Amino acid sequence: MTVLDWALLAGYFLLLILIGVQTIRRVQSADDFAVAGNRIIWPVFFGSLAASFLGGGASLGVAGKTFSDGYVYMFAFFGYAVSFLLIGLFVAPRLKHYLGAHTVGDVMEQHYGRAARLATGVLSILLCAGILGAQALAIGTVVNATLELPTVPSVIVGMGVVVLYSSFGGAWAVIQTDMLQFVFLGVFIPVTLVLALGEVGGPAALVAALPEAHLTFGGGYGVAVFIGLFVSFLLGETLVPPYAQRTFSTPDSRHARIGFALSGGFAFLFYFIAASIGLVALVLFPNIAPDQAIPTVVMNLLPAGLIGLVVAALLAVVMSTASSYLNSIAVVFVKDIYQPFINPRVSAQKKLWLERGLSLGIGVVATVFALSVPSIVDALLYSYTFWAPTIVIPLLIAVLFGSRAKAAALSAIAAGVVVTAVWIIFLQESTGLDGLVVGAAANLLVFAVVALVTRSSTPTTPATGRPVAEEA
Amino acid sequence: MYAALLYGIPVIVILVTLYTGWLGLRFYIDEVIKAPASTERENS
Repeated sequence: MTVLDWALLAGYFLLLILIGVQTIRRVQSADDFAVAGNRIIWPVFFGSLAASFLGGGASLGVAGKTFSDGYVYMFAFFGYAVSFLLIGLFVAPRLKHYLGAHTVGDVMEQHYGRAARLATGVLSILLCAGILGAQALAIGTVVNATLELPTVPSVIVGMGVVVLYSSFGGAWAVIQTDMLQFVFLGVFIPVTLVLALGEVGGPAALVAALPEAHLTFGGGYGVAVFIGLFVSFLLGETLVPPYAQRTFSTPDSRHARIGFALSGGFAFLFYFIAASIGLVALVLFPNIAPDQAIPTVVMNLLPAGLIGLVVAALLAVVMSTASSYLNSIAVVFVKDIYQPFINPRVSAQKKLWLERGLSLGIGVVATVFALSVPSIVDALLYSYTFWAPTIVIPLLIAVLFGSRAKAAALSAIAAGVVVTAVWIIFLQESTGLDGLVVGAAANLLVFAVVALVTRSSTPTTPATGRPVAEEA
Repeated sequence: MYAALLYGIPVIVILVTLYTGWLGLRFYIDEVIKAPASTERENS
């Protein structure tokens, strides 16, 4: 790293802080803090959403796993992009029909009652805390591998900046810093691949130097492993709180559909770039740890001046994700737990300051949590288990079909938790099948069975199909 | 074909990013730098 690199990296951090300061005055209410006053148009929604979900797993994780397993891991990871594409086309526009909604819990309560809101709120916080911790850990990985600074202070400084702008600027700061981070990651990660290809001798030399299985669709994975991974990525972060909250921040259904679907399309391309950098690293630096693939390429192959910008881009990848999840935890706690169950008469001003205070406190707790989690992708997958087998299916059924089967939803959530936990503890290792997939199947099955049973035993109004008691 | 993907996809990603970034910058100027704070808007 030259003086120029350090100056450019410092410039990136100064820009983040400047945006944080400039957006503070836009945050006057909980609406501004949670959904930026519903003013986010599709290009900003697209860029900020892409920056949020292209995190440590999508960059360092995909490059590292492709380094060790080949493109097969990238193809499995495409499940994530497919999910964004489908949600963007069919679900995101419908979310804008829930006027005034800030959280997934707002949607779940409208269909399944207060208990569903509480369950959604608790699970939202667990999921967000897991992913926030994983991103904080990734900040340490990037800084440690590129700048050779120790992990603990790196995580503390990186998370410190995230916590500051997220706490004071809320969604406005998170979205606008996400846009800056989107430009950094969308320009400098691809530039890294093009320059690295030159160093390896071009595409033909790359192909010649790689193991054949690294370039095939199936690689060394069995069918069950591939499907398990694909499905876990497909469902794993479907409409998780920050993405739903970001969708609510758009002005209407059209902006929600275009922005969400575009981010899915963009993800396919970004994963290919990250995976290909992993393959270049394998050819040039075969003895490094997989997680170090991108940082090693950056530090060894890029010219002075560009290193600072690419390190900033790598930090952008993880910091943008971290700030989105941090903002969501605060908003979900206040909207889905504190206001409905602890203090329904909380004033608008107190709510805003509570969200700001929570962002600060949770940021500190997450940093401590991050320093005890061993691997980025493992941490991501671990936190997936709280969400996909519980909330996703009842939520999709509610949004797409308007279901109000309360008993079915609550039973399905409970079944998802129990089946996933039991499977992970006793059967996952021996069967090789991901607990998330089994839990999601149990969740769907229980929802369908209970909905059918309760429907046949509950008198309904012919005109609307809703229970008579509910109509009254 | 693989060579086209390795060089073509980064170029597409960079162009899409720069165009989106440009639209985002215009939005930032209009909504954050030029726009009054929420309370000022409500009072006007």
